[in-house]
Amino acid sequence: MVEGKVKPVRTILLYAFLIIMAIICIVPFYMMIINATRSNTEISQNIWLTPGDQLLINYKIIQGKVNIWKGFINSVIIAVPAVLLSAFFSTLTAYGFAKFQFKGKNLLFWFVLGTMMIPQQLGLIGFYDLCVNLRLIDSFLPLILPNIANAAMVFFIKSYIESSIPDSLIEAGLIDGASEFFIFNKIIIPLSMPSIATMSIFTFINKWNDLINPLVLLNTSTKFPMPIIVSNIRGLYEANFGAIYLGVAISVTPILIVVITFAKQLMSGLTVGAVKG
Amino acid sequence: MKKILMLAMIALVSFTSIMANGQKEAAQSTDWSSMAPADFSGKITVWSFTDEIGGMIPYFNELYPNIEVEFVVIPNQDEVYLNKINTTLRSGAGGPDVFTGEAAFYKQFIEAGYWEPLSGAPYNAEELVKDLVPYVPGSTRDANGKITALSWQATPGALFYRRSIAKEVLGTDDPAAVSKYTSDLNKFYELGAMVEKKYSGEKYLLAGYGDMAQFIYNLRKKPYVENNKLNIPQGFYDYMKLSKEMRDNNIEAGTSTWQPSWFSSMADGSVMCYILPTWGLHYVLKPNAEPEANNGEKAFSGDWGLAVPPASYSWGGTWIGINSMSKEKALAYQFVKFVGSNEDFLEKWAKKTGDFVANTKVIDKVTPSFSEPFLGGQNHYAYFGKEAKKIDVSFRGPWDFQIENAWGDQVALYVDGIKSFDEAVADFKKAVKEILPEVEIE
Amino acid sequence: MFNNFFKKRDNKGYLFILPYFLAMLTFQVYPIIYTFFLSLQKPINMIKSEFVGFANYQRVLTNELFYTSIGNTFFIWLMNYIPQIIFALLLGVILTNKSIKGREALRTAYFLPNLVTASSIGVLFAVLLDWRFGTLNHALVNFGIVQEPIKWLSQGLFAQGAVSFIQWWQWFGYTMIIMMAGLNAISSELYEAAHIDGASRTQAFFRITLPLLKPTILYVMVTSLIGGLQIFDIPRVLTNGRGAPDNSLLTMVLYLYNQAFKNFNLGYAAALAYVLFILILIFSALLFKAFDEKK
Repeated sequence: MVEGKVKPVRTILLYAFLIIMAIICIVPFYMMIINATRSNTEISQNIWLTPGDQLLINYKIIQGKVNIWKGFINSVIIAVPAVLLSAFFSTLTAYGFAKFQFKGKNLLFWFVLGTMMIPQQLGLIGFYDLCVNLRLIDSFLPLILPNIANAAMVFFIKSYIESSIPDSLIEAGLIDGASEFFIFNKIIIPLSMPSIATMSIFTFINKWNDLINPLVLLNTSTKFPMPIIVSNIRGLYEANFGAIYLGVAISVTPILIVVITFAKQLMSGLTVGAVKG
Repeated sequence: MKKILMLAMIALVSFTSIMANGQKEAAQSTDWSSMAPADFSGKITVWSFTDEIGGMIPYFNELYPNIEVEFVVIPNQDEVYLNKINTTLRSGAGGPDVFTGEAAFYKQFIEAGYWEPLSGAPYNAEELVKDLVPYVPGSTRDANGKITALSWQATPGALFYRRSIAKEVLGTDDPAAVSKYTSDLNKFYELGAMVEKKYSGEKYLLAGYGDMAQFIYNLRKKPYVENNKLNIPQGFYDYMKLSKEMRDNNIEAGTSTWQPSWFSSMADGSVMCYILPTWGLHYVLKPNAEPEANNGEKAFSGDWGLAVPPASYSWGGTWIGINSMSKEKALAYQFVKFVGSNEDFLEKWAKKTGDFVANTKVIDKVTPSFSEPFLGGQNHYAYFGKEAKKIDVSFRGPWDFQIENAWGDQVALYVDGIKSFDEAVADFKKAVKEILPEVEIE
Repeated sequence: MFNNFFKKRDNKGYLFILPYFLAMLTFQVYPIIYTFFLSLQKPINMIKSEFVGFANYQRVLTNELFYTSIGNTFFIWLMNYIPQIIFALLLGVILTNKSIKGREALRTAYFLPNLVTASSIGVLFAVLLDWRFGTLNHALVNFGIVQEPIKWLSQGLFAQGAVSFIQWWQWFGYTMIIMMAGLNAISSELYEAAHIDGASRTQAFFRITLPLLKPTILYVMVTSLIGGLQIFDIPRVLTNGRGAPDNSLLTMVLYLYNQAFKNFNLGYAAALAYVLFILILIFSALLFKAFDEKK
């Protein structure tokens, strides 16, 4: 956007607004992390803004109950390939939908959208049955492979390609004799990167936090990913709030790292404008 | 296109069902009643919603060195354990050899035939249960009268009170004297009024009226659903009115069971009584009321006592049975049998964890050795031993948990003054219709 | 034959979407059809069912509680959908302005609520809103704003408002990031040209930003509709998971979930899922149509 000259009073008000919003967002997140250093009783009695001294004790409770680092590794093994598959195939599909005018395109696209509209809580029962038949129970594959079909990601990248990549670019490539796949790899993927990165982050978070799918599909405890491990910290009768929060804190860290790492990528925006003009 | 898809799917679905049927195998026919424990070898998988079983495996392996037990904990937070058991068993393939069920849903497991009946050969479990508190195996009998699961524990209920408050209100903290007030519902209410008056509303008899629910739900004689008709026990109505009175007169603190404020009220000294069963003492009250002492960092204050609740009751409990589709039933049964009947193990278990076991011989044996520092040296085992024999849960049905929750929801609305008594009762009936659409209601 | 078919460039589009559809047919269509078969069945017990035709659908459509759940879902959804999109758009536009300092930090901050787990929210709010011991009531009573503590979560409207607020808070940052991806794709030269032509910032926003952002806004609106009508975990953790107080937090998916996994009536839940599916489909189609007409 154009860098406008803003009056000082308005600038102050604008920043005040931005900062208040930031506080509203940070404080509960911060409290969630702070609770990792508090005991069960402290958490159920009050809301805390300062760290307590229970961090080590909470860590010991976790160590005594579950192998959190093994869960961490399992989560990486599931989430990373899932995101890569999602990103590649969604871009492929989105490009197909965005830049080719084939018959039945709209109907097929509505099929894609339609799959998002069935509540997954129930779809899981059928999915389990499918995995039994494919002999994929207790394997990471049914947690990874279905990500080839990620409807939300296709939808988003499709609208991004439609609005920001001009047909003239593709035509120029075709005239130069480039193959379709070459165009896809060398023009479409780089130019769609902001949208791919945005959606990859969200897909990663989704996969990382997914509890119910791995829980139903995996049977061996050494294969359990983070969210199951975190929920296993909870005892049957005792709440173990502090230890659970520590588990949540450990679990949230990689997400934060991903978000911050990709921050530049997201902010940088596009240079398509140069071509457009 | 669509038609082809449908046909393909139908073909796939029928193929699946054929596969599922084909997988059912005949039970092993070897006679293993004469085999020594060490002769059994192989691997079994055990699923449970608590980690307790994990602690039992070492004891099991001392006797059965050649059976490898793979243990998986799936907490039932958000019904995930139930969800997993259901999806797995519905599909008819795989799953654990042994799994546990909790009081809230084990009747459903039995009705669905998830657990292998154990009364007949080759298991002959009837021989094992002679010494058990009768309700423990009794309530697992299926429609044919066969036992389907065992348990290491019985879960009779008690009432725990703060001695310091009792002393200030009643002038004594003697369990027998306190029991005079707590063992009768009218006197109990009176005690509540005394607490209220003594501390001018700063302290309460109960953390929440909901704590009374368990003994009240045990006060009935008939099942909730009988001959496809709903019975609403008189206790339900009494409970609703009593709860409202308690709320209006400041006798209960207004927390809900299992909520953070309920847990924290145990530590801050604002509540006199908690109505909890066997496991409630060790796993709920002790760690939340005196966390440091429970971790062994200092001595228990001994400020708690055990008294007789207004009515006998049992709350919760875990049962363990064999997956009827297991391929390792012989091995699976060894585990269930061991956990449910091995006296040597149960004695060690009782001494190690303080948990109340279901085997009366073991109860009699270990009772004299108990003296609970948390309870100021009281012997809770002796009390529970007497209570366990009184338990009769023959009226339990598969839908009790859901029906009781539906009633609890309406009690809350009545107590909070959102609904009138009649509205609450009418809405309860609607809620039951949601749970059991075909049951006749009045 | 195939060669001829694919000689037409547009038909190569089929090849690009083929892997997706293979995966979709393998992993997604089967469960959807399976759910449909379930919806024609009634449980006998947890494992056995019997075929009952469309009886479950009849029960759904004649059930008062189902309509209550639709009402709750739409109310909660609208209360957070509108502010969510307004805040996301507003903050997105502000944060794409390069003269704003600390943009990256702010953007990350706004996204943080999305990482707070539902169960943490449940515990935090339980402590915050508890009747006699809650932090909020303590504060209100201490400052003399109220005489008696308020029983927040027994007020249906308050509970619904709390869910809407939490949803707004959790999702406006997420939506903002999506908006920003769309905003960043708009060429800065367009704005420069508008500036030279003497257009004000407001004019530029309505003439350039909004029209070019239309695909992104459509995406946001459709996915928030699909996601928002399936709202489930916050209403569940905020009270007792059964929609208390008095079913005011019973959303469509919570209703469906409780029928499936607490009352073990998978058939009825599956019928609910299909009715919900059709509702979402209709509303999505309406949104698409509304956007098409504005072209």
